[in-house]
Amino acid sequence: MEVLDAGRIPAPPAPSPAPRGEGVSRVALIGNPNTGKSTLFNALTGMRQRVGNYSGVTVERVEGRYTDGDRPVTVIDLPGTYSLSASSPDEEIALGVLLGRVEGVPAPDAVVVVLDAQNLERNLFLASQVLELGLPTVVALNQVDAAEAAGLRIDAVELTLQLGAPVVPTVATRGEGLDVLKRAVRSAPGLPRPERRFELAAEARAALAPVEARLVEAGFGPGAAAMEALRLLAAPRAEAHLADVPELREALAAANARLEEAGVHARSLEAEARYGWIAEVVDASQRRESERGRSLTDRVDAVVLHRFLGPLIFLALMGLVFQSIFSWAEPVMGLIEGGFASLGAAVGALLPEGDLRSMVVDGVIAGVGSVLVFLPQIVILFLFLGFLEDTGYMARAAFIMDRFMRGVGLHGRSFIPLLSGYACAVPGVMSTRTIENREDRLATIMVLPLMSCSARIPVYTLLIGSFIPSVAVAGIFNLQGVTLLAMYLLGTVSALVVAAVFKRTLLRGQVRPMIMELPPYRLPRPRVLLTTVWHRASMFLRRAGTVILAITIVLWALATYPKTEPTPGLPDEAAQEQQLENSVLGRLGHVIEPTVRPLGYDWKIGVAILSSFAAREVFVSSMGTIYGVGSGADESSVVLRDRLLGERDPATGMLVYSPLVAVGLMVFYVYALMCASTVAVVHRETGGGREGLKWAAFQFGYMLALAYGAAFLVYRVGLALGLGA
Amino acid sequence: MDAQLMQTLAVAGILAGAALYLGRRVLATVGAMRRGGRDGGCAGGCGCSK
Repeated sequence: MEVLDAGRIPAPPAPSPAPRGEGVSRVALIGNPNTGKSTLFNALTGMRQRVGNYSGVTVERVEGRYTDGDRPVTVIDLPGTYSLSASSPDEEIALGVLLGRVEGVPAPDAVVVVLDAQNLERNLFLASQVLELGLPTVVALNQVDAAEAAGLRIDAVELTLQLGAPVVPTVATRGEGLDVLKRAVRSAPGLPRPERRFELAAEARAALAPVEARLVEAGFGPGAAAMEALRLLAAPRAEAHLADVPELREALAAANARLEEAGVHARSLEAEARYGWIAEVVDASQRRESERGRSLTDRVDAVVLHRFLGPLIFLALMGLVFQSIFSWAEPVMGLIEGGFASLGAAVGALLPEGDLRSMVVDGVIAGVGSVLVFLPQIVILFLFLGFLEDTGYMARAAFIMDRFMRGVGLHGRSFIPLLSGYACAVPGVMSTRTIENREDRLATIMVLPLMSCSARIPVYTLLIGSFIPSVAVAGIFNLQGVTLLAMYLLGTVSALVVAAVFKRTLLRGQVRPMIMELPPYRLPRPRVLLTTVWHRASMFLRRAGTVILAITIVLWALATYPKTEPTPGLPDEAAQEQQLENSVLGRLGHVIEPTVRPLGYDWKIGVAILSSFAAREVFVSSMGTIYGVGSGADESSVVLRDRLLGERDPATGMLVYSPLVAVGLMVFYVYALMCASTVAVVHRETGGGREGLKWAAFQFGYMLALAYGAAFLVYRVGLALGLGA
Repeated sequence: MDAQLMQTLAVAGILAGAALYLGRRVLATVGAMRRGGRDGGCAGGCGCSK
């Protein structure tokens, strides 16, 4: 997957699609959000690009390949966009690629415009703009099955005549129409190029002629120049791909003045012209066979989107997800724990006593094993989220949340990036590119890591599973599930509150309304669902096998050396503890201990927190290693939960962990930005260089302050209320 | 070779490998941040495909 930087679109020479007859080697896929574009991309290329039943899934440019005969064809999946207005970074990428003006990305030889057959009128706006670019174009009329089920019949031949480009009906989810689509793409360069199919009024044509002339002089084709000139009237912006067009601004100002003089409203000229033509096209090619009554989607939405019931249903569903993370995962988790315990014992018996055995058993198996036992939780979370997303419910959740988002001053488009943050902040930050306004985008990026990502699951579930009793709270819900839900809610509510503060101070700006499409409910496709889950699970496993493994090994060494002679007569357990205390890690831990003591933590927790600034899950593996090294050599249990429960302060003999300490630690992890990858991606997405560094440092600092303050408050208030035991 | 010595050498080798790997990751992340390029921030983050 490649990620394009929208802010770095230079202006190489004008588009140069393959001449007729030379075949097609690069095809760009473009369409409105939620037209099934990514599904079509996957069906064509056999790739497993993420798809979702909500808008805005594709925010990066993604490439794949298929073979046409023996000829490889590269397919570029462009971000979903409603127009080529280039008002947000992802739209600018789409336009730049089509015009062949993105550095390192050759112009496509052909374009496939994906239309949702159920929403022809709205989808044709973008199609009409793309057709004018004069590139060999094929139209994929997707989801024709759903349109027919809704009583819509579209005449593909008539639509072909109207658009001046071949129209191929497809059902991407079932792979229908793909062969015809590939053949149409192959022959597209040999067909007459599509062009503008409507006439502008004489005064508009005259006013725009000088603008078009400037663009043609700068290397644009006549069709692309006409499209750009009309588009720029509605949205004159300093776009990177137009930077080298001389006197464009002056020509546009003159065109505006001339139109105003003629009594034509320049800003609405494009919309009026295009929608006027679209109405004629739809009228000629679409027939509504029957007026269906209220669909199932409408009936479900009446309940799910209800003003009061909607948020309650959302909360109940989330509660169910978090409850099941405990109830369903526990048996599998026990099996994995048992597996690692047996593995540790077997390897321990196999290797002779010495440092290598200690490294493998106390370091690697205890450390990495303690993270891997949380795989079932990760799988269950993504299975649920994927299910809700694929049915179309997540789009409703965005709609429900929009009310709250507007309340705090965030744009509704911020919801999808924030939702992605539940999986991982990195793609979430990248998907903020769909937000047009800079202040809205920055505010979203600044609060996004407060959404609890999947890397926090091992930390939360280790502490909840060990210290929060599994007592029933309400019906099927127990205290463990409710505590996990509370941590997620704390992160989400905090993100909204912090965003409200930013939007009223640092990042002031108007709240813009969001127009959002609610897709029809669908039955989830098991293959797509399992692919998403596998993708997430494999990333978790890969991290455990790379970064976490390496950190664990280094941490084991720090906890093992230098070797010291134990005080004579000390029991084995105490001798191990003494060795740990005198190791580099122990000494470092005692140096930082004063900073974590006010939160109720000992030096071991302090060191585990410090090591997890690279990645949050490292907290768990670090605890596994520290307690692995610190326990007696004949310790039979490598189960970290058991070790934490029995840990006592050597000085006082008191238990180190209590439910209060555990809750304080979880609160710390809700707020702290402990992820090097997120810091790096925030740096890039906020402008890079000094500007990016400023925002990344600010975010890291405010979140750390929030984490420390909140954990301190929880612990101190808890103690005052007598909850310390 | 003495078994203890072999264990020590193996531990030193593994440790050096882990340290080198982590060093490379840190350099890759810092380098990507400096460049501000296409893969900036994507040096193994759980959301990227690299």
